[in-house]
Amino acid sequence: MSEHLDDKELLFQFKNEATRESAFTRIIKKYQEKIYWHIRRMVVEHEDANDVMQNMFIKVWKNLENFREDSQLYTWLYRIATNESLTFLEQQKKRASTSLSDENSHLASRLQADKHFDGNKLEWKLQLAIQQLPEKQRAVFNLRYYDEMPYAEMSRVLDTSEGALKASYHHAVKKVEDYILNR
Amino acid sequence: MFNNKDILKELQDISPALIPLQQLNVFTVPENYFTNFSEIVLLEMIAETPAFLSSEVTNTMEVPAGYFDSLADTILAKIKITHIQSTAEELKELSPALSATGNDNVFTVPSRYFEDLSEIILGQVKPVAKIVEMRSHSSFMRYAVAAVITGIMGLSLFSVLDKKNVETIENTPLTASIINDANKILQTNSFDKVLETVSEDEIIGYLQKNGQDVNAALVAASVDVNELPSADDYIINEDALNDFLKELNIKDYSN
Amino acid sequence: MKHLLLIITFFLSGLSALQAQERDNDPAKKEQKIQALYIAYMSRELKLTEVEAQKFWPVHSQFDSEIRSVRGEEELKKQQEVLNIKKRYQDRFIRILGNDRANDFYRKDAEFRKKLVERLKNMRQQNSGNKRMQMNRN
Repeated sequence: MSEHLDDKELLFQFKNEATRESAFTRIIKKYQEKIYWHIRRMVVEHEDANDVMQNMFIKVWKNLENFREDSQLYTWLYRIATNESLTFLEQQKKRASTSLSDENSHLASRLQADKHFDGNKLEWKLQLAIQQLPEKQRAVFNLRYYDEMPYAEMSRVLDTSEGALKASYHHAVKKVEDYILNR
Repeated sequence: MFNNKDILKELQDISPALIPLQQLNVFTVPENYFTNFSEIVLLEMIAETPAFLSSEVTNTMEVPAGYFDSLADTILAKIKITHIQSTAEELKELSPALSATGNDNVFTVPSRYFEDLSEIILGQVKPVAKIVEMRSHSSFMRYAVAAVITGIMGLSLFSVLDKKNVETIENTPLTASIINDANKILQTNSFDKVLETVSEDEIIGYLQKNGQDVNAALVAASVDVNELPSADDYIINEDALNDFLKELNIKDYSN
Repeated sequence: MKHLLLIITFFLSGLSALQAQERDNDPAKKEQKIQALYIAYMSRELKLTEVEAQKFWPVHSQFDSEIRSVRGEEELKKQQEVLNIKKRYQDRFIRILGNDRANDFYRKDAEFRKKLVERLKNMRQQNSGNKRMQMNRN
């Protein structure tokens, strides 16, 4: 496990033109896995996740100078990643508009197309259950369930009140549980 | 009193009967409860007997050595533990079934994906490559030079050792001069001009080496309207055409 | 460092001069112009950055030599092999260029060859046109 510099140091180095690229690279390496898996859980396909990752970090490059440091860097990155993922899913829905069937079944079928898919295994069932949720609720669920994000932070990522997030998460858990137990 | 007009309106829509109650609070709270609350909570966490329950507070109470030094850390540690527990506990409360499933990852990622990712992204945010000059020390040039060395070494070794064997992987090494030429073409935007200086043989040789059937490709290439034969060429002789058709018919019947 | 580069360049040109003497016919040298055109074309069409060029060309070089060493009698079998090679390299190109541009690569690669073919066609038309003119004059 390599040593990661702390965020303050990284931001400082980024703002300096001479060290900007190396700082940027370090930021990517520090957060890439966490961010990637968050995106991947939203968009399912690796190729799509990769596209979103790259677009997202390009935005980071362009906007990091203006990051006000009043919240955690991590939170800010998650915010951009989530927005990019949601935008991507929106565009995907529009492109697939020829079919009238439920958009979420589209992602579900992609899951099932994964070569490792095994409908009997609980973890795959869980994924199918999650894909039934509307996008934003899916994000709430993933952030809380997988990333164990506190509601205060989540509220900054999703621009939603903590109370609403809490309610959303509770509903999401119930829906997911219902799917797993009853299907 | 409602501070928020929207909430007031919402309430009017759902249940106007509640409005006269004006959010009245029926519960009472000890004096100074809120001002002292945080202190009490902290004390709750570290003391064995709750502070407000102990009736005897004397000034000669002893404090363990180093108590205050580590106080902050202890409190932080407790806060952290309670924080992490809360998401797992929350889940257990909401759905024991779900909390049993665990976080196993089902998705797979191409090997080396994370190792290479940062470089790829960096490549996309940096401006498009500057023209590499012959005298520059860029690593691209250094690589090219290295490629030349290995390439030509390989070639000379081959021809010295084994003149009989011609069938070898034909790999034109990326020589520095080729790259230099490429750069010149880019700089002077002279792709078409240089293309015109290439000989027929060169093109044919190159295409064949790439496994292309040159003649088939020529035929497949877009037909030039100017090349279409004129009407005169088609029908030389009406009779000839009729004879030809008759021939065809005869052949068909005889099969 | 500059000197080193110069020395190497002289060394190499010396070597290649040796090579030229040993070979009766050096097709490799003739190809240089087309190679240069190809690199220029691809760099422009794919908008390669310096970092990408560094990673891309070595991989492409391998790709190229594999394609060229496909031998065989049957046309379909050869095409199948070429397709397999392209599929195998697709992943590596994607990792260097990203999804969209990896697709573009295969397309632009074919377009480059198309340009060569069209140029060839033009040249032959001009030649036959010249011959016809000559014949008409006679």
